[in-house]
Amino acid sequence: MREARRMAPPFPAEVDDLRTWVELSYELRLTDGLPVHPPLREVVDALVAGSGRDADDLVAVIPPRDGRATVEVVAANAAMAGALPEHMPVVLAALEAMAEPRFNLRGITLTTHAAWPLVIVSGDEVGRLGMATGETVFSGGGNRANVAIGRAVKLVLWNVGAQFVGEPVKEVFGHQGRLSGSCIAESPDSPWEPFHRARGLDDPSGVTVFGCESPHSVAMWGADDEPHNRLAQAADAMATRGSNNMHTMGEILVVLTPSEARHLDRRGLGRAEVQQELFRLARRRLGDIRPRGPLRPDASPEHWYTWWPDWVDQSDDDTMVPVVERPEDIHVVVAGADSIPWIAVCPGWGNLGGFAVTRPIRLRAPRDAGGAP
Amino acid sequence: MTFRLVDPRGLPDRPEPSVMAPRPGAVPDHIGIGFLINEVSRQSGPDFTRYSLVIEEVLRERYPRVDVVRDAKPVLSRPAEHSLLDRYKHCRGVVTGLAK
Repeated sequence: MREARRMAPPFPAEVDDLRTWVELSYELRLTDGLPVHPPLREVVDALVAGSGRDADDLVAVIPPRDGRATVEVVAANAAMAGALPEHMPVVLAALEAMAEPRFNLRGITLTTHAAWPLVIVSGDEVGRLGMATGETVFSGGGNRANVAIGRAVKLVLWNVGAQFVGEPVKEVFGHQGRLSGSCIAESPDSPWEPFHRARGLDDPSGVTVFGCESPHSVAMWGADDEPHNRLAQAADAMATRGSNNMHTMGEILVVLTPSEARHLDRRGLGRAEVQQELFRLARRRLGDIRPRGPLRPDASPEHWYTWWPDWVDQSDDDTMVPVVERPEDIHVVVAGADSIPWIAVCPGWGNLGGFAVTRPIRLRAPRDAGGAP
Repeated sequence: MTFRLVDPRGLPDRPEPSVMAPRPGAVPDHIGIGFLINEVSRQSGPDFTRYSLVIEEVLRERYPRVDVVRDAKPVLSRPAEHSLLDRYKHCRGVVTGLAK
Protein backbone atom coordinates (compact mmCIF):
# COMPACT_ATOMS: atom_id res chain seq x y z
CA MET A 1 0.00 0.00 0.00
CA ARG A 2 1.37 3.42 -0.95
CA GLU A 3 2.11 6.12 1.59
CA ALA A 4 -0.90 8.37 0.93
CA ARG A 5 -3.30 5.49 1.28
CA ARG A 6 -1.58 4.30 4.43
CA MET A 7 -1.79 7.75 6.04
CA ALA A 8 -5.47 8.29 5.24
CA PRO A 9 -7.94 6.35 7.37
CA PRO A 10 -9.46 3.38 5.56
CA PHE A 11 -12.75 4.02 3.83
CA PRO A 12 -15.43 1.34 4.20
CA ALA A 13 -16.62 -0.13 0.92
CA GLU A 14 -20.02 -0.70 2.50
CA VAL A 15 -22.05 -0.18 5.66
CA ASP A 16 -24.88 -2.26 7.03
CA ASP A 17 -26.68 0.58 8.74
CA LEU A 18 -26.98 4.04 7.17
CA ARG A 19 -27.48 5.55 10.61
CA THR A 20 -23.77 5.02 11.19
CA TRP A 21 -22.87 7.26 8.23
CA VAL A 22 -23.23 10.60 10.02
CA GLU A 23 -20.67 9.83 12.72
CA LEU A 24 -18.48 7.98 10.24
CA SER A 25 -18.30 11.03 7.96
CA TYR A 26 -16.97 13.11 10.83
CA GLU A 27 -14.57 10.43 12.05
CA LEU A 28 -13.08 10.04 8.57
CA ARG A 29 -12.93 13.83 8.15
CA LEU A 30 -15.03 13.67 5.01
CA THR A 31 -16.77 16.92 5.87
CA ASP A 32 -15.77 20.36 7.06
CA GLY A 33 -18.52 20.41 9.66
CA LEU A 34 -21.75 20.50 7.70
CA PRO A 35 -23.58 17.17 7.39
CA VAL A 36 -23.12 15.27 4.12
CA HIS A 37 -25.11 12.59 2.34
CA PRO A 38 -23.54 9.13 2.04
CA PRO A 39 -21.87 8.58 -1.36
CA LEU A 40 -24.01 5.55 -2.20
CA ARG A 41 -22.81 3.51 -5.16
CA GLU A 42 -26.16 3.72 -6.96
CA VAL A 43 -26.33 7.50 -6.54
CA VAL A 44 -22.74 7.97 -7.66
CA ASP A 45 -23.32 5.80 -10.72
CA ALA A 46 -26.34 7.92 -11.66
CA LEU A 47 -24.26 11.09 -11.31
CA VAL A 48 -21.49 9.64 -13.47
CA ALA A 49 -24.10 8.69 -16.06
CA GLY A 50 -25.45 12.25 -15.94
CA SER A 51 -22.05 13.59 -16.83
CA GLY A 52 -21.98 11.58 -20.06
CA ARG A 53 -18.33 10.79 -19.35
CA ASP A 54 -16.32 7.77 -18.30
CA ALA A 55 -16.02 7.24 -14.55
CA ASP A 56 -12.23 7.09 -14.80
CA ASP A 57 -11.81 10.32 -16.79
CA LEU A 58 -9.41 12.60 -14.89
CA VAL A 59 -11.00 16.01 -14.36
CA ALA A 60 -8.36 17.71 -12.24
CA VAL A 61 -5.53 17.10 -9.82
CA ILE A 62 -6.42 18.93 -6.63
CA PRO A 63 -3.71 20.51 -4.44
CA PRO A 64 -2.17 20.31 -1.95
CA ARG A 65 -2.51 16.51 -1.70
CA ASP A 66 -2.63 16.29 -5.49
CA GLY A 67 -5.55 13.93 -5.23
CA ARG A 68 -7.07 12.66 -8.45
CA ALA A 69 -10.52 14.05 -9.12
CA THR A 70 -11.85 11.55 -11.63
CA VAL A 71 -15.44 11.80 -12.79
CA GLU A 72 -16.41 9.09 -10.28
CA VAL A 73 -14.61 10.81 -7.39
CA VAL A 74 -16.27 14.11 -8.29
CA ALA A 75 -19.59 12.27 -8.45
CA ALA A 76 -19.02 10.85 -4.97
CA ASN A 77 -18.55 14.37 -3.61
CA ALA A 78 -21.52 15.62 -5.63
CA ALA A 79 -23.60 12.86 -4.07
CA MET A 80 -22.49 14.03 -0.63
CA ALA A 81 -23.54 17.57 -1.61
CA GLY A 82 -27.00 16.47 -2.72
CA ALA A 83 -26.38 17.20 -6.41
CA LEU A 84 -28.47 15.76 -9.23
CA PRO A 85 -27.12 14.14 -12.42
CA GLU A 86 -27.96 17.24 -14.48
CA HIS A 87 -25.69 19.32 -12.21
CA MET A 88 -22.63 17.25 -13.09
CA PRO A 89 -21.61 19.03 -16.34
CA VAL A 90 -21.47 22.33 -14.43
CA VAL A 91 -19.46 20.88 -11.56
CA LEU A 92 -16.99 19.26 -13.95
CA ALA A 93 -16.60 22.42 -16.05
CA ALA A 94 -15.96 24.46 -12.91
CA LEU A 95 -13.27 22.06 -11.70
CA GLU A 96 -11.62 21.97 -15.12
CA ALA A 97 -11.53 25.76 -15.11
CA MET A 98 -9.93 25.77 -11.65
CA ALA A 99 -7.27 23.37 -12.91
CA GLU A 100 -6.04 25.95 -15.44
CA PRO A 101 -2.58 27.12 -14.28
CA ARG A 102 -3.54 30.82 -14.44
CA PHE A 103 -6.20 30.20 -11.79
CA ASN A 104 -3.51 29.10 -9.31
CA LEU A 105 -5.86 26.83 -7.39
CA ARG A 106 -3.17 25.93 -4.89
CA GLY A 107 -2.57 29.56 -4.04
CA ILE A 108 -6.14 30.83 -3.93
CA THR A 109 -7.34 28.02 -1.67
CA LEU A 110 -4.37 27.98 0.71
CA THR A 111 -3.73 31.71 1.01
CA THR A 112 -4.09 33.74 4.18
CA HIS A 113 -6.45 36.03 2.22
CA ALA A 114 -10.23 35.82 2.66
CA ALA A 115 -10.84 34.79 -0.93
CA TRP A 116 -12.47 31.71 -2.43
CA PRO A 117 -13.25 30.40 -5.93
CA LEU A 118 -16.64 31.76 -6.93
CA VAL A 119 -18.50 29.72 -9.59
CA ILE A 120 -20.53 31.86 -12.01
CA VAL A 121 -22.99 30.04 -14.29
CA SER A 122 -24.35 31.89 -17.32
CA GLY A 123 -26.45 31.18 -20.39
CA ASP A 124 -29.12 28.61 -21.17
CA GLU A 125 -28.11 26.21 -18.42
CA VAL A 126 -29.23 28.70 -15.78
CA GLY A 127 -32.84 28.31 -16.90
CA ARG A 128 -32.59 24.61 -17.69
CA LEU A 129 -31.40 23.84 -14.17
CA GLY A 130 -33.85 26.31 -12.63
CA MET A 131 -31.01 28.13 -10.87
CA ALA A 132 -31.69 31.07 -8.59
CA THR A 133 -30.50 34.43 -9.86
CA GLY A 134 -32.43 36.80 -7.59
CA GLU A 135 -32.72 37.34 -3.85
CA THR A 136 -29.75 36.07 -1.78
CA VAL A 137 -28.02 34.86 -4.93
CA PHE A 138 -24.63 34.86 -3.20
CA SER A 139 -25.90 32.49 -0.53
CA GLY A 140 -27.60 30.06 -2.86
CA GLY A 141 -30.95 31.73 -3.30
CA GLY A 142 -32.62 28.85 -1.49
CA ASN A 143 -32.03 26.79 -4.59
CA ARG A 144 -30.82 23.19 -4.75
CA ALA A 145 -28.81 23.60 -7.96
CA ASN A 146 -26.91 26.68 -6.77
CA VAL A 147 -26.12 25.19 -3.39
CA ALA A 148 -25.36 21.65 -4.56
CA ILE A 149 -23.03 22.79 -7.35
CA GLY A 150 -21.10 25.11 -5.05
CA ARG A 151 -21.00 22.55 -2.27
CA ALA A 152 -19.90 19.74 -4.61
CA VAL A 153 -16.94 21.83 -5.76
CA LYS A 154 -16.12 22.69 -2.17
CA LEU A 155 -16.20 19.03 -1.07
CA VAL A 156 -13.91 18.02 -3.94
CA LEU A 157 -11.39 20.60 -2.75
CA TRP A 158 -11.75 19.37 0.83
CA ASN A 159 -11.75 15.62 0.28
CA VAL A 160 -9.56 15.25 -2.79
CA GLY A 161 -7.23 18.17 -2.13
CA ALA A 162 -7.15 17.68 1.65
CA GLN A 163 -7.51 21.43 2.11
CA PHE A 164 -7.89 21.09 5.83
CA VAL A 165 -7.91 24.09 8.14
CA GLY A 166 -4.55 24.79 9.70
CA GLU A 167 -2.84 22.01 7.81
CA PRO A 168 -2.13 23.68 5.49
CA VAL A 169 -4.95 26.24 5.06
CA LYS A 170 -3.84 29.44 6.78
CA GLU A 171 -6.69 31.77 5.82
CA VAL A 172 -6.86 34.37 8.55
CA PHE A 173 -10.58 35.16 8.72
CA GLY A 174 -12.34 32.65 6.46
CA HIS A 175 -14.90 33.00 3.71
CA GLN A 176 -18.46 31.73 3.51
CA GLY A 177 -17.54 29.80 0.38
CA ARG A 178 -14.98 27.79 2.27
CA LEU A 179 -17.83 26.23 4.23
CA SER A 180 -20.78 26.08 1.90
CA GLY A 181 -19.19 26.54 -1.49
CA SER A 182 -19.98 29.56 -3.59
CA CYS A 183 -22.00 29.48 -6.80
CA ILE A 184 -24.08 32.22 -8.42
CA ALA A 185 -26.03 32.28 -11.68
CA GLU A 186 -26.36 35.24 -14.01
CA SER A 187 -29.82 36.69 -14.40
CA PRO A 188 -31.74 36.04 -17.62
CA ASP A 189 -33.09 39.58 -17.15
CA SER A 190 -29.72 41.09 -18.00
CA PRO A 191 -29.90 43.52 -20.92
CA TRP A 192 -26.56 42.24 -22.14
CA GLU A 193 -25.21 39.05 -23.62
CA PRO A 194 -24.41 36.26 -21.14
CA PHE A 195 -21.20 36.73 -19.20
CA HIS A 196 -19.36 33.79 -20.80
CA ARG A 197 -20.07 35.21 -24.26
CA ALA A 198 -18.65 38.54 -23.26
CA ARG A 199 -15.54 36.54 -22.37
CA GLY A 200 -15.30 35.05 -25.82
CA LEU A 201 -17.19 31.75 -25.73
CA ASP A 202 -19.86 31.03 -28.34
CA ASP A 203 -21.39 28.13 -26.43
CA PRO A 204 -24.97 28.41 -25.14
CA SER A 205 -23.77 28.06 -21.55
CA GLY A 206 -20.58 28.66 -19.67
CA VAL A 207 -19.10 28.56 -16.23
CA THR A 208 -16.54 31.03 -14.95
CA VAL A 209 -14.47 30.62 -11.82
CA PHE A 210 -12.98 33.64 -10.11
CA GLY A 211 -11.09 33.85 -6.83
CA CYS A 212 -12.60 36.69 -4.83
CA GLU A 213 -13.79 38.03 -1.53
CA SER A 214 -17.40 37.99 -0.40
CA PRO A 215 -19.60 40.72 -1.89
CA HIS A 216 -19.22 44.25 -0.57
CA SER A 217 -22.56 46.04 -0.70
CA VAL A 218 -22.81 49.31 -2.64
CA ALA A 219 -26.17 50.99 -2.10
CA MET A 220 -27.09 54.00 -4.20
CA TRP A 221 -27.18 56.41 -1.24
CA GLY A 222 -26.96 59.94 -2.51
CA ALA A 223 -26.56 58.99 -6.16
CA ASP A 224 -28.86 60.43 -8.80
CA ASP A 225 -29.71 58.74 -12.11
CA GLU A 226 -26.51 59.78 -13.84
CA PRO A 227 -24.47 56.68 -14.73
CA HIS A 228 -21.27 58.47 -13.80
CA ASN A 229 -22.49 59.12 -10.27
CA ARG A 230 -23.86 55.63 -9.80
CA LEU A 231 -20.70 53.94 -11.02
CA ALA A 232 -18.59 56.32 -8.95
CA GLN A 233 -20.38 54.82 -5.94
CA ALA A 234 -19.10 51.37 -6.95
CA ALA A 235 -15.68 52.67 -7.90
CA ASP A 236 -15.24 54.02 -4.39
CA ALA A 237 -15.81 50.54 -2.98
CA MET A 238 -13.42 49.02 -5.53
CA ALA A 239 -10.43 51.25 -4.78
CA THR A 240 -10.02 50.83 -1.05
CA ARG A 241 -6.64 51.37 0.58
CA GLY A 242 -6.20 47.92 2.04
CA SER A 243 -7.34 45.83 -0.90
CA ASN A 244 -4.99 43.51 -2.76
CA ASN A 245 -6.28 44.95 -6.03
CA MET A 246 -5.30 48.50 -5.13
CA HIS A 247 -1.71 47.47 -4.49
CA THR A 248 -1.14 44.63 -6.95
CA MET A 249 -3.99 45.10 -9.48
CA GLY A 250 -5.19 41.73 -10.87
CA GLU A 251 -8.94 41.39 -11.46
CA ILE A 252 -12.14 42.41 -9.71
CA LEU A 253 -15.83 41.45 -9.96
CA VAL A 254 -18.71 43.91 -10.04
CA VAL A 255 -22.25 42.53 -9.86
CA LEU A 256 -25.15 44.74 -10.93
CA THR A 257 -28.76 43.96 -10.13
CA PRO A 258 -30.88 43.56 -13.27
CA SER A 259 -32.64 46.88 -12.67
CA GLU A 260 -29.31 48.69 -12.29
CA ALA A 261 -27.99 47.08 -15.48
CA ARG A 262 -31.16 48.00 -17.38
CA HIS A 263 -30.89 51.57 -16.12
CA LEU A 264 -27.32 51.88 -17.32
CA ASP A 265 -28.23 50.20 -20.60
CA ARG A 266 -31.05 52.67 -21.18
CA ARG A 267 -28.56 55.47 -20.62
CA GLY A 268 -26.38 54.08 -23.38
CA LEU A 269 -23.87 52.00 -21.44
CA GLY A 270 -23.26 48.40 -22.42
CA ARG A 271 -21.06 46.05 -20.43
CA ALA A 272 -17.90 47.33 -22.13
CA GLU A 273 -18.80 50.94 -21.40
CA VAL A 274 -19.44 50.09 -17.75
CA GLN A 275 -16.01 48.47 -17.59
CA GLN A 276 -14.42 51.54 -19.18
CA GLU A 277 -16.16 53.95 -16.83
CA LEU A 278 -15.30 51.92 -13.74
CA PHE A 279 -11.69 51.69 -14.91
CA ARG A 280 -11.62 55.48 -15.27
CA LEU A 281 -13.20 56.08 -11.87
CA ALA A 282 -11.77 53.38 -9.59
CA ARG A 283 -8.45 54.99 -8.72
CA ARG A 284 -6.56 56.36 -5.75
CA ARG A 285 -3.91 59.01 -5.42
CA LEU A 286 -0.48 57.39 -5.29
CA GLY A 287 0.64 59.55 -2.38
CA ASP A 288 -2.16 58.07 -0.27
CA ILE A 289 -1.29 54.44 -0.93
CA ARG A 290 2.44 54.54 -1.55
CA PRO A 291 4.15 51.78 0.44
CA ARG A 292 5.91 53.08 3.50
CA GLY A 293 8.15 51.62 6.13
CA PRO A 294 11.81 51.03 6.87
CA LEU A 295 12.30 49.08 3.66
CA ARG A 296 10.73 51.79 1.53
CA PRO A 297 11.95 54.98 3.20
CA ASP A 298 11.41 57.21 0.17
CA ALA A 299 9.85 57.33 -3.29
CA SER A 300 13.00 56.46 -5.21
CA PRO A 301 12.57 54.00 -8.12
CA GLU A 302 14.07 51.04 -6.27
CA HIS A 303 11.11 51.25 -3.92
CA TRP A 304 8.44 51.38 -6.61
CA TYR A 305 5.91 48.62 -6.99
CA THR A 306 6.82 46.06 -9.62
CA TRP A 307 3.18 44.96 -9.89
CA TRP A 308 2.15 48.03 -11.86
CA PRO A 309 2.62 48.73 -15.58
CA ASP A 310 5.20 51.29 -16.66
CA TRP A 311 2.58 53.86 -17.65
CA VAL A 312 1.70 54.37 -13.99
CA ASP A 313 3.99 57.26 -13.07
CA GLN A 314 5.33 56.28 -9.64
CA SER A 315 7.50 59.38 -9.40
CA ASP A 316 4.49 61.62 -8.87
CA ASP A 317 2.44 61.41 -5.66
CA ASP A 318 -0.53 62.89 -7.53
CA THR A 319 -0.73 60.05 -10.02
CA MET A 320 -4.17 58.47 -9.88
CA VAL A 321 -3.49 54.73 -9.78
CA PRO A 322 -6.18 52.47 -11.31
CA VAL A 323 -7.34 49.49 -9.27
CA VAL A 324 -6.63 47.15 -12.20
CA GLU A 325 -4.44 47.38 -15.26
CA ARG A 326 -7.12 47.18 -17.97
CA PRO A 327 -10.91 47.74 -18.22
CA GLU A 328 -11.41 44.08 -19.13
CA ASP A 329 -9.95 43.10 -15.77
CA ILE A 330 -13.20 44.37 -14.26
CA HIS A 331 -15.71 41.53 -14.64
CA VAL A 332 -19.29 42.75 -14.85
CA VAL A 333 -22.06 40.24 -14.08
CA VAL A 334 -25.81 40.80 -13.68
CA ALA A 335 -27.45 39.01 -10.73
CA GLY A 336 -29.39 39.63 -7.56
CA ALA A 337 -32.91 40.69 -6.75
CA ASP A 338 -34.71 42.85 -9.27
CA SER A 339 -36.44 44.89 -6.60
CA ILE A 340 -33.86 47.62 -5.97
CA PRO A 341 -30.95 48.95 -8.05
CA TRP A 342 -27.86 47.83 -6.20
CA ILE A 343 -24.26 46.90 -6.86
CA ALA A 344 -21.92 44.40 -5.24
CA VAL A 345 -18.14 44.53 -5.47
CA CYS A 346 -16.08 41.37 -4.99
CA PRO A 347 -12.38 42.26 -4.80
CA GLY A 348 -10.05 39.66 -6.21
CA TRP A 349 -6.90 38.21 -4.72
CA GLY A 350 -4.89 40.78 -6.62
CA ASN A 351 -2.14 39.85 -9.01
CA LEU A 352 -1.41 36.65 -7.09
CA GLY A 353 -3.89 34.35 -8.83
CA GLY A 354 -7.53 33.36 -8.87
CA PHE A 355 -7.87 35.02 -12.26
CA ALA A 356 -11.14 34.39 -14.05
CA VAL A 357 -11.24 31.29 -16.23
CA THR A 358 -14.28 30.49 -18.36
CA ARG A 359 -15.15 27.08 -19.75
CA PRO A 360 -18.14 25.91 -21.80
CA ILE A 361 -20.72 23.69 -20.17
CA ARG A 362 -20.80 20.76 -22.57
CA LEU A 363 -23.85 18.55 -22.28
CA ARG A 364 -23.33 14.99 -23.39
CA ALA A 365 -25.87 12.22 -23.82
CA PRO A 366 -26.32 10.53 -20.44
CA ARG A 367 -24.79 7.10 -20.23
CA ASP A 368 -26.31 4.00 -18.81
CA ALA A 369 -26.22 4.26 -15.01
CA GLY A 370 -24.37 0.98 -14.92
CA GLY A 371 -21.41 2.77 -16.42
CA ALA A 372 -21.43 1.07 -19.84
CA PRO A 373 -20.50 3.37 -22.73
CA MET B 1 -29.25 -4.62 4.16
CA THR B 2 -25.83 -3.57 2.87
CA PHE B 3 -25.14 -0.15 1.40
CA ARG B 4 -22.20 0.20 -0.96
CA LEU B 5 -20.19 3.45 -0.74
CA VAL B 6 -17.72 5.20 -3.06
CA ASP B 7 -14.56 6.72 -1.58
CA PRO B 8 -14.69 10.48 -2.34
CA ARG B 9 -11.00 11.17 -1.67
CA GLY B 10 -9.24 10.23 -4.92
CA LEU B 11 -6.10 9.41 -2.97
CA PRO B 12 -2.93 9.88 -4.99
CA ASP B 13 -0.51 7.03 -5.46
CA ARG B 14 2.55 9.11 -4.78
CA PRO B 15 3.98 9.25 -1.26
CA GLU B 16 3.11 12.18 0.94
CA PRO B 17 5.92 13.71 2.98
CA SER B 18 5.47 12.56 6.54
CA VAL B 19 8.82 12.96 8.24
CA MET B 20 11.44 15.67 8.40
CA ALA B 21 14.61 15.19 6.41
CA PRO B 22 17.44 13.84 8.59
CA ARG B 23 19.68 16.47 10.12
CA PRO B 24 23.07 16.72 8.45
CA GLY B 25 25.95 15.15 10.28
CA ALA B 26 29.44 16.60 10.27
CA VAL B 27 29.73 19.67 8.05
CA PRO B 28 32.19 19.20 5.22
CA ASP B 29 34.79 21.82 4.35
CA HIS B 30 32.93 22.97 1.29
CA ILE B 31 29.17 23.34 1.58
CA GLY B 32 26.39 24.83 -0.49
CA ILE B 33 23.60 26.70 1.26
CA GLY B 34 20.51 28.06 -0.44
CA PHE B 35 18.06 30.81 0.43
CA LEU B 36 14.77 30.82 -1.44
CA ILE B 37 12.94 34.08 -0.86
CA ASN B 38 9.19 34.13 -1.16
CA GLU B 39 8.87 37.85 -1.74
CA VAL B 40 11.62 40.20 -2.92
CA SER B 41 11.02 42.86 -0.32
CA ARG B 42 8.28 43.91 1.98
CA GLN B 43 6.85 47.28 2.78
CA SER B 44 7.73 47.07 6.45
CA GLY B 45 8.57 44.62 9.16
CA PRO B 46 10.72 41.51 8.77
CA ASP B 47 12.64 41.19 5.55
CA PHE B 48 13.86 37.73 4.67
CA THR B 49 16.35 38.99 2.10
CA ARG B 50 18.23 40.95 4.75
CA TYR B 51 17.81 38.13 7.24
CA SER B 52 19.41 35.70 4.78
CA LEU B 53 22.35 38.09 4.30
CA VAL B 54 22.95 38.08 8.04
CA ILE B 55 22.84 34.29 8.16
CA GLU B 56 25.24 34.12 5.24
CA GLU B 57 27.68 36.36 7.09
CA VAL B 58 27.57 34.10 10.14
CA LEU B 59 28.06 31.01 8.02
CA ARG B 60 31.07 32.51 6.27
CA GLU B 61 32.67 33.26 9.62
CA ARG B 62 32.26 29.63 10.67
CA TYR B 63 32.80 27.89 7.34
CA PRO B 64 35.15 29.74 5.00
CA ARG B 65 34.17 27.68 1.97
CA VAL B 66 30.46 28.32 1.66
CA ASP B 67 28.67 28.62 -1.65
CA VAL B 68 25.43 30.54 -1.32
CA VAL B 69 22.54 30.43 -3.78
CA ARG B 70 19.92 33.10 -3.25
CA ASP B 71 16.80 33.57 -5.37
CA ALA B 72 13.40 35.12 -5.07
CA LYS B 73 10.32 33.49 -6.54
CA PRO B 74 8.90 35.56 -9.41
CA VAL B 75 5.37 35.29 -7.98
CA LEU B 76 5.07 34.83 -4.24
CA SER B 77 1.78 32.94 -4.41
CA ARG B 78 3.02 30.16 -6.70
CA PRO B 79 5.29 27.22 -5.93
CA ALA B 80 8.81 27.63 -7.28
CA GLU B 81 9.32 26.28 -10.78
CA HIS B 82 11.53 23.23 -11.22
CA SER B 83 13.98 25.28 -13.29
CA LEU B 84 14.50 27.54 -10.28
CA LEU B 85 14.78 24.65 -7.82
CA ASP B 86 17.44 23.06 -10.03
CA ARG B 87 19.79 25.84 -8.99
CA TYR B 88 19.76 24.40 -5.47
CA LYS B 89 20.64 20.86 -6.41
CA HIS B 90 24.14 21.01 -4.98
CA CYS B 91 23.04 22.65 -1.71
CA ARG B 92 23.43 20.88 1.60
CA GLY B 93 20.41 22.76 2.91
CA VAL B 94 17.94 25.37 1.72
CA VAL B 95 16.21 27.94 3.89
CA THR B 96 12.93 29.26 2.57
CA GLY B 97 11.53 32.44 3.96
CA LEU B 98 8.20 34.18 4.14
CA ALA B 99 9.06 36.70 6.84
CA LYS B 100 5.57 37.94 7.43
